[in-house]
Amino acid sequence: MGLRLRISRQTLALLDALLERPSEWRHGYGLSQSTGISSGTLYPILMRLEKLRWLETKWEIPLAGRPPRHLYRLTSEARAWARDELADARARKLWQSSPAEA
Amino acid sequence: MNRQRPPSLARFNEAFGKALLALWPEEKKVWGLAFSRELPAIASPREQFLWLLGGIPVLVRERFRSFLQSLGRPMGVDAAGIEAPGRRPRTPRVVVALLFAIFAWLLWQPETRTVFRSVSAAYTPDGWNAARWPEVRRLEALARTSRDPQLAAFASLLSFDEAQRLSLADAAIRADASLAWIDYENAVLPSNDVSGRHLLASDRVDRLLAADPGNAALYLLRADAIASPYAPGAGGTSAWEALASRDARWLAAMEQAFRAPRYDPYDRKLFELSQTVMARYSVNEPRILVEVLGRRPLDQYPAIRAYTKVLLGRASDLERKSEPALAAGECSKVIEFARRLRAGTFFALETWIANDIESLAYAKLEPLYRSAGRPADAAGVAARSEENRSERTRIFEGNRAGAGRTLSGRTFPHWSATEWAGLAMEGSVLAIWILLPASLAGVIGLSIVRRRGRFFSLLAVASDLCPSFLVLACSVLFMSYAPYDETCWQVLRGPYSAASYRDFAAAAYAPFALPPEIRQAAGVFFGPHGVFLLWSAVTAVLTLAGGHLVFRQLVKRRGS
Repeated sequence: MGLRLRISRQTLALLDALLERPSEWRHGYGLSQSTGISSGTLYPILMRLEKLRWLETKWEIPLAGRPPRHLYRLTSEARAWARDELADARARKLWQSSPAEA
Repeated sequence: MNRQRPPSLARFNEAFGKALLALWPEEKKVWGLAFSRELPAIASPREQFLWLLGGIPVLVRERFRSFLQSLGRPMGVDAAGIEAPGRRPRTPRVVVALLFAIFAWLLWQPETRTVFRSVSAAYTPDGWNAARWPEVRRLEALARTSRDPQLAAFASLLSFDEAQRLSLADAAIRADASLAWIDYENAVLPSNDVSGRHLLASDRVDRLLAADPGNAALYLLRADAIASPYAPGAGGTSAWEALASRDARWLAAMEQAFRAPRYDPYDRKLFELSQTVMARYSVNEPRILVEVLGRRPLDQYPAIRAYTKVLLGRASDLERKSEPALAAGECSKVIEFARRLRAGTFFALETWIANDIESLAYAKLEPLYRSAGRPADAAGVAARSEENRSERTRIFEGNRAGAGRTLSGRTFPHWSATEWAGLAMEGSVLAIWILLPASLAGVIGLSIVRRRGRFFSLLAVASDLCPSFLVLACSVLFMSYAPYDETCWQVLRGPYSAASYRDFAAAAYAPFALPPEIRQAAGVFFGPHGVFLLWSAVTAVLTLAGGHLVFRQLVKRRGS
């Protein structure tokens, strides 16, 4: 990626959550639940990651009686970068791994 | 059917979600949709509500960012741009907003506001009128409640209503007896109402004379009241003169006027009163003061001329009776009175009256001295008579004799700096009145009309060009008037003198000092409301010409 951004704890939490099952598409509410980040904080981060092209988005296939929801996952390039960022944050004790990964 | 209605909070959340979605900026709508589509997946209405609450700061942030980004785009162009052919707006919103802000700031400057309002008011069908000026109305309202006698006196001079004028004057005199002279002004004012007579009641004239017994101007007022039944009408001026000169009371009043040691129309007191009130109550329009000071006792001219003829008639009688010394004495009364008229004021009206009656007296006196064998005195009178004629020429021709410059054998009028400034000011005010609606129409119209077609192109041109020209017009207005405004306030802060008053009057009238050729052309072609009609015609022609040029430009572009 070649870029170093000032990454907040919430962004680290989101990256961590997205890296749990990197190839899997995730919903906004699900990400909010798993990270504990409120909707007002989550969406600006998602929008910023998408603008930087580190986040892939798509609409899910509509199911009967329910409108399609937006889905998110890290791009393959972003996954490596996110891992580096998380490792760096852990090394500097800015971030603690999630229990599952630990 | 056993369907349960969703709880009220859930119904509220649904509406709330829709409302939030509707408010998302168009270019980020997909995120608003993504946010609101999560709602059905949230089981608890309370959780849904909290989810939506979290959306408010996101929405506010996105709207603000969208607004900031829109500033870089022209009006009528959204994030998706314009695909339709034709002229598109080019000036970014932020530049247009900045130009409007500069225009508003310039127009808000006291100098610009004053000259803009004043010139605009002058070109209404009723013309400029102090009584309708906001500051004057404010002063009148204040005068009714305040206990300031000077304010009441000043307000009385500006009121159109006779009863109110006199009642304000009475209130002022009751509170401060030294303001008794204000009654004199109330007989003279308002001279803009020349059709009406504003005679003072005899008790008011007596009050004035008791306060200032040596003033010829007050005896003229008394004579004016006595002669009012003979007011020029069916019989004309000569009939009036004949009737008045047979009235012993009128003759006595005129005799006292011509004999009184001085003539004082209270110009200095009026100036100082106006100076005080204008400074005390922050009146910004210098023309109000010019209106007050510039009104002269024009009605008294026929009486002065009539009594001059009476005196010169007596001189002829005495001459016939071989009493040349007494005859010369009658002529001298006229000349002395003319001298006192000149000494009492520096206004052109009194100078003109003095010049007129002097010329009549000299015409009588010169042959009288010759026939009496006093050639030296006759020569002296002849010399003064020559001066009198020169003065008359100056009065009628003004100081414009010889003005002009010659180029290739043709003489072109040489306009003074003030006339150029007046032209710039009136042109700028006219331009603002044309450009302001055009700019607003352009800017507002672009956001509401369909983004295609000639009309949209026309609005695009208007929104691109008009705001810049609007700022230019307002800058010219400010810069051309500011030096005159400064002169006015310097005079208002300084002592009263003929020179300072002339500077003041010239500066206060600068916005109306159109070059005489233009004013004359307006008068010749358009009648009594010439200037108003001229500018209306200029406005219409410029608007049509501008519209025509723009359309031609558009047609050319479309063809190419």
